[in-house]
Amino acid sequence: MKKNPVVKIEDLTLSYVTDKRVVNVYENFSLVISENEKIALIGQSGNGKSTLAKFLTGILPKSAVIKGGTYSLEGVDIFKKEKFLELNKVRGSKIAFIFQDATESLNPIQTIGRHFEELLGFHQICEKEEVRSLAIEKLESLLIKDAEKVYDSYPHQLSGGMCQRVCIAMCLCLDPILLIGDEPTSSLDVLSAYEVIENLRNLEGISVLLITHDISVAAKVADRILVLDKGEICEDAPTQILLAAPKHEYTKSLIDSYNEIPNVNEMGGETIEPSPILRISGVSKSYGSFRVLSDINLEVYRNEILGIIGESGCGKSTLSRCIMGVEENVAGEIFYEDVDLLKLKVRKRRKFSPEIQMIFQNSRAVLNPRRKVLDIVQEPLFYNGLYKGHREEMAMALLGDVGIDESMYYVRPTELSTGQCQRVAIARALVSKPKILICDEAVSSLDINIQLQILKLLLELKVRYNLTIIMVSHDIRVLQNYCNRIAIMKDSRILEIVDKDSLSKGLVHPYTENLLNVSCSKSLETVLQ
Amino acid sequence: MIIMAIVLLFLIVIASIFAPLLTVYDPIEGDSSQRFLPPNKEHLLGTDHFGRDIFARILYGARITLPVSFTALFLTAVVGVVLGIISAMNFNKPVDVVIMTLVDVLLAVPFLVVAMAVCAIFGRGLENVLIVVVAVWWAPFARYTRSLVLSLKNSQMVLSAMVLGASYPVIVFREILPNIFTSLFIYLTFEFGNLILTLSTLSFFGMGIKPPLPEWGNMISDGRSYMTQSYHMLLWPIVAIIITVLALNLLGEGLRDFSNPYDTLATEMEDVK
Repeated sequence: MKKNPVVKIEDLTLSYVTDKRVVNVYENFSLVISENEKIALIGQSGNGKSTLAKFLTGILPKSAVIKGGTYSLEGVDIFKKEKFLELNKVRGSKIAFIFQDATESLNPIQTIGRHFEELLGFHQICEKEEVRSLAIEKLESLLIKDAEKVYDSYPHQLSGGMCQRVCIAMCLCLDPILLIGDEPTSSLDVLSAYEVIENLRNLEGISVLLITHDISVAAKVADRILVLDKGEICEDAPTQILLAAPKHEYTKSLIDSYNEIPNVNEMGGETIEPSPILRISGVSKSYGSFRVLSDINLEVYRNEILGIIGESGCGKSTLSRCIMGVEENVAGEIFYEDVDLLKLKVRKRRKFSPEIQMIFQNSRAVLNPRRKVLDIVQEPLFYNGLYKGHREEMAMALLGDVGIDESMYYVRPTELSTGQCQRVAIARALVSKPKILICDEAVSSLDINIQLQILKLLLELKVRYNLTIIMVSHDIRVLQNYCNRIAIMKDSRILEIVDKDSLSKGLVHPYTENLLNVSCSKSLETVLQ
Repeated sequence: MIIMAIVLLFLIVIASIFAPLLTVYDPIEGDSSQRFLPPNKEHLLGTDHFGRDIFARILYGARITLPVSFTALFLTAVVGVVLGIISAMNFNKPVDVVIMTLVDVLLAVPFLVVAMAVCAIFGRGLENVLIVVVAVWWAPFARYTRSLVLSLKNSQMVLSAMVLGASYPVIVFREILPNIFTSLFIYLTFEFGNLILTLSTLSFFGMGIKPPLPEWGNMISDGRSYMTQSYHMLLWPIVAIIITVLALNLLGEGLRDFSNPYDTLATEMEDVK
């Protein structure tokens, strides 16, 4: 059965032009989205996925230059002679858009209800008295419990996932024919992402274009997956077929890296003695009256990889910051070997920083944009007055270890790719020869194949430098096999600490089981079966 | 842009240094037969109410106005930035509270009242004007610096430097200052114009540079009285200030683009790296 095309783009040629350089994004790019079709566009970050979404809604930045092409919506030309026609009428009412961070797309000083009123008023969908009932009907159609309560809430009172679902409901009110989601689940934790994904999957009577770097999300939502590589669609196939028998090299590598999370036992081999290198007992921390950590007890064994998992806001990042000594007024004890780090004065605590190091999620934001790679890696040695005279050699050695070659020594971080930035950050953390490395969501924002590279690299380095690694993440798929033990955090507490055996046998707390079930890794397997 | 700014500033400085070579008229002694002349061949920019050549007064005035305002600006900036950084790095601690309360007080009290009080105590004179300006004007600088530092202080970059074991001074000098320098500099260039006018206000109230010394602010306050008869008395010193401030703004903006580590439009096109 041939369905009517809703969106038709033909021969689109688009590039970004600045006074310094020209970047060609698309050349003769064509795309057809049919009625009621759910399409996912996947590909690495930085290859122009979002540009397509911006083109479709006509919100391209000024530096984007369109050299040619046509774009029609329901057979009507929207883009002709390099100009958009009457986009305002189309935007919202025909094409709806949801952004990555829904909490930021909502106005914090207005209730959800006000958002609906404004939206429906602007598009003159219904009378003011009817807004509430219509909104609640839409919210309930997305299986949101307490829709009435949500309607009267402010965005900050809702979770990120709920905000995203509210955004979807708002889009649906206008009865659009196409819903574009630009990484709608990337900033959500597993459980809320699951709900959003479910919502998107169950939408009816609307075409969906889902833009994502996560193949598992794409697999769950879409009927058809387009793989975008270097501005070209290199593979276009129904989801089942694409996953089962990928044809293009790039697709293959994506699926392989997704399935192949390195296993700690295969690399290290050694068994972990339960001799704690770090002992956390009774640690609590509040911001004002808000409790972030309450009574955390945790032992980290020498040479193990310990995972800490939890929803966003459960306090896992605060815990790692407490260990690093950058939080003030922390109650409890954190013993590193025989020293209570929390009792030390700032100056003395600093002496331990070479031994406990940390890498962050967004390494691009972490590296000083004004310094060169080789300088950046030497920073910890400089700060702590270590290895005078040998700093450069040590930095070079570590850069070699993480796979950054000489040509990049004098480059600034803005010119590096995200993966390279993370490698530089790892080199910087390891240059002072730490015993413990804390990775705070260190691979979460990376593309799946780069994620795999970094995970492998960390394992190699762990063996070479006898590291103890604490992996903080919201992604159980990564931690499942990668860690010797996993601590599950919920609502500022540690719910349980499980090792790999009990995790695979299912001897876990119901919450953990839930996490495992909704985790996208399973869904990819189920789709494959 | 930066080249234009440098050329302009260079011309202004050269013109003030070589003032005696560029004009034959005396900036102080007037010719009473030549009063209120509009611009003409002999007096390029006209003459004022004492028959003094305005072009000469502007050239010589630059010799006073520019060094005085630069000194004042430099001193306020140093005091303000240092206190702002101290305040931000001790966020919510007593030091911060004291500094910020002081800032609030200074911003609440009208500048002229403070200035008059200081002059009443210490007497008039250039040094006292500088003291007054620094004593009051550091407040907005401190507040601005504090906000810049605070937003950076909680950034991942500074956090990671702390985690790597950097001490506070190292963080301030290596991570924070280089990254806020251009914002501060641009702010300074904007404040420069204000400062010239403030200095002239003080002169107007008899607290600053005394007439008949040629000073741009003084010239404006003189010109104000004859605005309707001889517009040029008011116009040219204003033009001089505008050109100077413009040159500094261009310099600030140019420096910002020049020193920006990011691609100018990198944020716009972050989708495509």
